[in-house]
Amino acid sequence: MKRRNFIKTAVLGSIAAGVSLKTGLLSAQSGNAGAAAEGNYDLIAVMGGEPEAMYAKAIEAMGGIKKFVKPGQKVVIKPNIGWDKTPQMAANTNPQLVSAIVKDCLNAGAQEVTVFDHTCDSWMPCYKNSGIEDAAKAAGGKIGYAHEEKYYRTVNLPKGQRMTECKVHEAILDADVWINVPVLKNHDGARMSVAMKNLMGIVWNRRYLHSNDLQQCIADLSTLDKKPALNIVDAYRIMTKNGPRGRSEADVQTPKALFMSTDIVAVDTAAVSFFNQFVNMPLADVKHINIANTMKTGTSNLDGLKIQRIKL
Amino acid sequence: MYTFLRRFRIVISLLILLAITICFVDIYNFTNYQFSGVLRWQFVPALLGIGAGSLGILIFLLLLTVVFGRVYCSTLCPLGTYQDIVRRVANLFKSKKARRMHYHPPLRILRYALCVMAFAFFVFGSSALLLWLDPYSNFGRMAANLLGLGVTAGGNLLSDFIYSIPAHNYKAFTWGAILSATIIFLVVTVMSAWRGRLFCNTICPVGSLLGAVSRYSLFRLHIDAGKCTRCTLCSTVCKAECINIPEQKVDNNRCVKCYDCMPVCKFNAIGYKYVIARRPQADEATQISTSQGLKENRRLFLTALLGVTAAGIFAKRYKPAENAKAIAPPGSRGPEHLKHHCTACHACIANCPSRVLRPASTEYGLDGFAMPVLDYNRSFCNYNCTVCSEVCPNGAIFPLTKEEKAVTQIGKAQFFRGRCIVARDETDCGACHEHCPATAITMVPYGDGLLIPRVDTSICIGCGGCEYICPARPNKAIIVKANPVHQTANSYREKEKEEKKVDNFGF
Repeated sequence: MKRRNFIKTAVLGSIAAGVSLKTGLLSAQSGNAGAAAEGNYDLIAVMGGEPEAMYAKAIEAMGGIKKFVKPGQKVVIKPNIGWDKTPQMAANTNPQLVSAIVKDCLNAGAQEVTVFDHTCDSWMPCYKNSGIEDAAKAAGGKIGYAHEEKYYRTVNLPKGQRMTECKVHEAILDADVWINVPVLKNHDGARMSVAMKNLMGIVWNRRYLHSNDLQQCIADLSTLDKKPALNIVDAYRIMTKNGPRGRSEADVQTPKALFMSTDIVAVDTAAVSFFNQFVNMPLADVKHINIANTMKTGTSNLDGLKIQRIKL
Repeated sequence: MYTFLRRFRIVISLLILLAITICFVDIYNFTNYQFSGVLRWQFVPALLGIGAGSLGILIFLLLLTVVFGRVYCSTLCPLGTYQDIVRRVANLFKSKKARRMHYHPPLRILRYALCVMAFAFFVFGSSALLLWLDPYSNFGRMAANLLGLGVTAGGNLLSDFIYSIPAHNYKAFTWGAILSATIIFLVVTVMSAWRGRLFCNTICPVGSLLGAVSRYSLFRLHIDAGKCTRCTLCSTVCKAECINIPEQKVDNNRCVKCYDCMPVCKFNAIGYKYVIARRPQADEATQISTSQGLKENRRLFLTALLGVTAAGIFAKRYKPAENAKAIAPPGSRGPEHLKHHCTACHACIANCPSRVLRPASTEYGLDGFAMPVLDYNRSFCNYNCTVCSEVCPNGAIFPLTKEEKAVTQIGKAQFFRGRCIVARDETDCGACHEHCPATAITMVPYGDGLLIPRVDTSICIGCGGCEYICPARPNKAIIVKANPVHQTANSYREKEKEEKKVDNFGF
């Protein structure tokens, strides 16, 4: 080992140790949830805290990040960075949440953490004004580019019905683990934009989905072999109308919630049920969730799942 | 002393050239448009941008010329500095003898004809001729379309190996603009490699105009006949070919004040002197007898008259055809204002972060060739972005605040229901609604549980987000039609926000 590498490792190690000590402290303080926190839940729902605190609670209940991210792995985090909007507008994933996940993955020993999205508005202002570029970099993560076709590779979707192949971002395909981090939004095309809809940001040609039965294509895309290890829905701020872009803060509510599951259909079902309390949105209207349930990509029958509900 | 003056001129001119070049090739936006203010100090932009508040700069440039002569041409003009570099490089390949410059008489008729015509066109409402003659704009097009293309291609090559370098698309480039810039590049390069500042003293209308002023400037190049030995050394280094040794005169009209000649003189015979008391003819190489002068003046006058008439006829006859695709940048007030004030320097196109601006082909008519046009097949105009209006030095695109931009209607979206995916395939889509930043497109119930777009053209600003993303083929279902004169869109009426409190998870 070279001296430089030794020093690097030593410094990183001591930082990691320090941070894990702190996390331990935190969990000790709020011990009541710790009783069942052995990680056998299918779905975690948290409400009433800041994004970082809610994430910490949820991942702890899920069994800790180390269950999903192993040392030396390449991790990709895919938030929604679709629009040139500030965090207050709830058009993009909360940057504090992204930052917390990046840090956690690095603490778990991830070799690198890349954050990207195929944006709708021009990518540079999206990355910048969403606050996600700065947050990810400050947390030690990397920014991935997704604005040109060369960053994508064709993959087959053997289980797809309307879409049997598509170009998916290379970062996803080359990652060891990837985490899907959507924001909960109203969407007048797909009806709701949650975890399944967020996968459209890993695809190059989105017009294909729009012109070939959008709802079916979203469900087809969720059958991708390379599934996200975790789906973490940011509902700290949610967009209840004019979605998915939104117009102003009048479109935004701040319920301070977060949902986490390995099942992309289940987490969408839970998030839509939550959303339904703000604006009438029956699950039956969100067809891609129902199609995915029928295709057995996951389940929208929450009654059969072990759910942990946490209020902070 | 003169050596210092010359070196000072070289350093300043290179710094200005660098700053201006950066304005056109900074595709990674390292400088965050910080240098774009430099562009306003160019002569034609200052003249055309009077409406945008550049009168002060124009007066400064004219005063500069009144006092010091054509220092603009030697120091401020990027094309001038470029030509000096070309000449220097070309000299490396020339024999010592071939490097020598020689005095040439002025091509007065050609110079003034082009100059008068170019400015007359502008007075009559078209910048079409200035577009092709203005040195700054030609330099801009060369930098943006040739060097910029090289930087983009080079960057893309590197981005294959270095992950932190983002790739760039080529949406800002068109074959027409690349080709025309290449032709200008070849013409200017060959002319300067062959005979120094030939372009500046025959074609450039700014050179001709400032030259006419320069004849009467306070400081002029002057040969002291008493000291001069007619060795021709100064004349052989004169890139403007304006030192007439037999008559021991310097043509201060064509002299670009590069100060190359003075340091080489071994007898201190040629100097840069304050000559307010002297009439220009006294030290002009163009001293001519009265009858000859009258003849010459008559010819010049006739040329000018002809130029003005031609421009007038052109402007009268050539009414811009209304073209639905002629979508002019927000801030330009519409194609007509753009065509009066734009010289297609491509500062806006090179800096457009969305890459929606590209050089026009015939959208604005032939006289609007290469001017910026929004192409919604390539991209769409970012709602929060005002970069083109900030970098435009000409006042062709007036500066806009974000609030002004948000209601500047450059066109209106037109919805073709029959082509829409929702109506045609009876499946969900909503791509246009998603992209609409003005909330002009809302989704309304349609058929069995579907939603279909509805456009409110009074709110629409014509940004093209909807047209760009519309997946319907072969014809898009929503298309933006240009506003011949830009309008102000209504603001979206905001509903009161109701804060809702929820205590349960809902499942």
